[in-house]
Amino acid sequence: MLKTPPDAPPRKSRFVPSRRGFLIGAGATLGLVVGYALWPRSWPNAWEAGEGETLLGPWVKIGPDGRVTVPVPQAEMGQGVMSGFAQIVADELGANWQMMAVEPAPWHPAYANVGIAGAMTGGLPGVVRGLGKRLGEEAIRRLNLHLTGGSNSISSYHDQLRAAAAEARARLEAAAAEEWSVAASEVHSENGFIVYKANRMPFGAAAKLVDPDKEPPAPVLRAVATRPLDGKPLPRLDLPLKVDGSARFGADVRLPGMVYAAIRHGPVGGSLAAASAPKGVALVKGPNWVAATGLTTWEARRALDSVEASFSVSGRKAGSWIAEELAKAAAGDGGKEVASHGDVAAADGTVIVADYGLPYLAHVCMEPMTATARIVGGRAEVWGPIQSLTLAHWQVAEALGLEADAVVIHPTFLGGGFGRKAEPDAMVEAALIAKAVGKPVQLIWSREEDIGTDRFRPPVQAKLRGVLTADRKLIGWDSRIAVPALGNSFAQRNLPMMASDEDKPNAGDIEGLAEIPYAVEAFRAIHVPVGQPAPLGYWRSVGHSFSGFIVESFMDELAAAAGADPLAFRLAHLTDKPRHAAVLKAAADHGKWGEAAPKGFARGIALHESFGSIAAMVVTAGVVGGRVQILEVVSALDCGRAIAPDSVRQQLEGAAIMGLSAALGEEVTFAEGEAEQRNFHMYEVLKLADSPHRLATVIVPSDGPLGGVGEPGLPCAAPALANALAAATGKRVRQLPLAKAYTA
Amino acid sequence: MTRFTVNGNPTQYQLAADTPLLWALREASNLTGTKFGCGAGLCGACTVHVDGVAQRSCQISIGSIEGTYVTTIEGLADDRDHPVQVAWLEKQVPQCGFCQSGMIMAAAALLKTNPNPSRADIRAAISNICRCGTYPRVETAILRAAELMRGG
Repeated sequence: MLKTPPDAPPRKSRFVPSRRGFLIGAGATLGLVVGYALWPRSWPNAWEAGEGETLLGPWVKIGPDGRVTVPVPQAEMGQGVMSGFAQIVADELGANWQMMAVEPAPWHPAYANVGIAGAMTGGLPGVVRGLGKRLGEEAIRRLNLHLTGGSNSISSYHDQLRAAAAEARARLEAAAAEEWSVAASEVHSENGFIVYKANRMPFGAAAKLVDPDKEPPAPVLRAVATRPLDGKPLPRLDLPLKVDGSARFGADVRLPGMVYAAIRHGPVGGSLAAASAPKGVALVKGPNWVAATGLTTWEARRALDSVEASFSVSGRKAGSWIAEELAKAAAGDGGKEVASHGDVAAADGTVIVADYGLPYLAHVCMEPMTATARIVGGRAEVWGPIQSLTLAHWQVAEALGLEADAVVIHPTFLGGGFGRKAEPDAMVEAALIAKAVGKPVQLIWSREEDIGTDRFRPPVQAKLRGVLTADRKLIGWDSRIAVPALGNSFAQRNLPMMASDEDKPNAGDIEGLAEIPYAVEAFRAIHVPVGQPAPLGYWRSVGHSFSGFIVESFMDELAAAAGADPLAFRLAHLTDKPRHAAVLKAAADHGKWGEAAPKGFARGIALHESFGSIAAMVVTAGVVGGRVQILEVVSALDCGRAIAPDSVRQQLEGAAIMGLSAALGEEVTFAEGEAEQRNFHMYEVLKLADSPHRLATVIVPSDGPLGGVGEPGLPCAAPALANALAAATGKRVRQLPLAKAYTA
Repeated sequence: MTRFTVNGNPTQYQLAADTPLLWALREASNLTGTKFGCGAGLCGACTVHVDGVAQRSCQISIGSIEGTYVTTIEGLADDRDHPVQVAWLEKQVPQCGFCQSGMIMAAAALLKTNPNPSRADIRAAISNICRCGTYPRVETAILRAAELMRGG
């Protein structure tokens, strides 16, 4: 149970901000500044110490045995953020890696993701970027905004963690120095000890000597070069639990008296019209769902099978008309220019035109949506995988008519997130079912529900027009992108104060297409936000998941039209982008760009910047016996500094596989308002048998600012594969997924 | 009847005989290391051993395996020291970890019948889905586990 510390900012009652209240708050700048100036800069009581433990500020806790515990506000969904945070603290503190531990941080302003206020990377989801810019750091603390998304965990928290660890180290050093009657400058920390000549005091003993009321000595950050762990691969802290089955995921929670629930949702954009169940079935009705409970999930599902339910859809049911509308919009003259420079109409030369399209995608986290809820005495507790504690608190509170601080969310490990678990819909459902049946409830969606009631990656149709001079120079780039407004769809459900009633053209929804790295005299990007009924969500790398395919497929087609080598053509337009050029060359070198591929195969290359990092990929692939075969993938990344290089490599590997999977076989289509692909036999995810025979990763040395890692490796996969297959077969495919176009 | 041995413990479930083994293990025995991923035998997250053979536990009813020996990830080894688990940690395979119990059980069963698998053997045998894309490390770790089992 999180206790409200005495000096924490006052919580607004039932703080689910209305659009009106929010605008007033955010608009009244003077009032805000005065109000926030009175707030404390740190929250020493944010976190509780166990018996014998010493809290050294909100980020470091030391046990009597010397164990150092770090709170992690970011969701651990496989990206290794728990170990990343522990590594930054351990390094600055001078701790022993074997003695590091982590805990989920409580929902408290001290741990809010204030890094999104800077949004320096420009790689955050549009809505969040807007929120961050509009509000600034103090307002994010006031909102107590916790969010894992946009590949920003390390860049957002790195400086705070280091500063906190340096302060904790200074306290430990001062305490030990006093005990030894020497100057604090004479001692240092090393591998879990405070050291003075031959004297070594373990952290556990030093922590006990720290006087919490004493102002800490001014901390001095260690230089990068003197930090023993920075840039070193370390064993991840969460992996032992993940090889023996003991890691606790959303559905691994067990509560006394708990029952299990099964759920069936209506079509997208639908609402429940009527439902009935045989006697003895505990039927629970929701806005667009019905649920039933049982002593096991199996019993609950059998009970749900006996429920008759009908749903109604207002407006046009999702179907094949959406693809037609998108194609019409891309070919038409609607939408609005959201980025431009120069005059594209005036660009004179050879004109190349191409249309590209991508389908709806589902997240298919291996862990389907799940939550466990218990409601006792006007308070609710919910356990589950979640990427935003804040949205979970707000929405569960609102659904139950409680104040937000009468809700406690216990985050578990996420069995995959990829953006899907930013939304707490399963938590809200579990809470409502628990309330209805008067018992603790564990809700586990079936895979069919998980796909059918996803927050889908939006489908896209784009028309690209490029102008080349006779000497192979790109001088004009014009694009019209028809894509539903993802940011507004997310905001309408989750951040109503940021939502508008009408979808508006905006650069955020076509990120990666509103700006390209290549030098071109005249540039224009037009966004047409086509309306459609499916709920849209953030899917790993968000808009970049489609913009990479469009931009980099088109660059290859332009190179072909210019009669140029795809690598040389790109480099020729990157002369003022040395980091981009270096990443591209690194991928090309390791991917044997200059060497011929085996017979029947060819290499494809792509470059894409997102989330503050620059990625490039070379894929060697071909079509063998009517089947796409991927021989080799080389994925290169410049993410500034790679603090935990093995985690970076894991993310590059995973992003490549997920990107190739989407490019080859993934697609959601709708009929009569429902997704047609509901399990893995129809929603085809890449398996080991079809994955690259060799997958190499290259971390490009760089002195750039800390960039994202979880998502930037994904956008290059589809275009590099498409470019390789076009080169290998002579047939260019501009519509994903690729497999069906190449399958004999 | 629904009597069989789970991780060495004689067990009788007081559940309907058509209950899939997956739910009996997870919700009656609280052996939550075995995961639900698809309910259709497609993803492999629920893989356990029945009499030493890798099986998708969402597809087996408890009434159909009377008298068998079921092993879950919790019963694979003491102190997570099965060669597959050792190799998994050495190669830092898991990311989110959700599919990994099933993946490890599938790998352990493969190595029991084929102690020296080629890459092609591994690709043919492991059809489990991993959304995080740990496949390259899964392949490497299985080769390493085979080496460890041979004493290397």
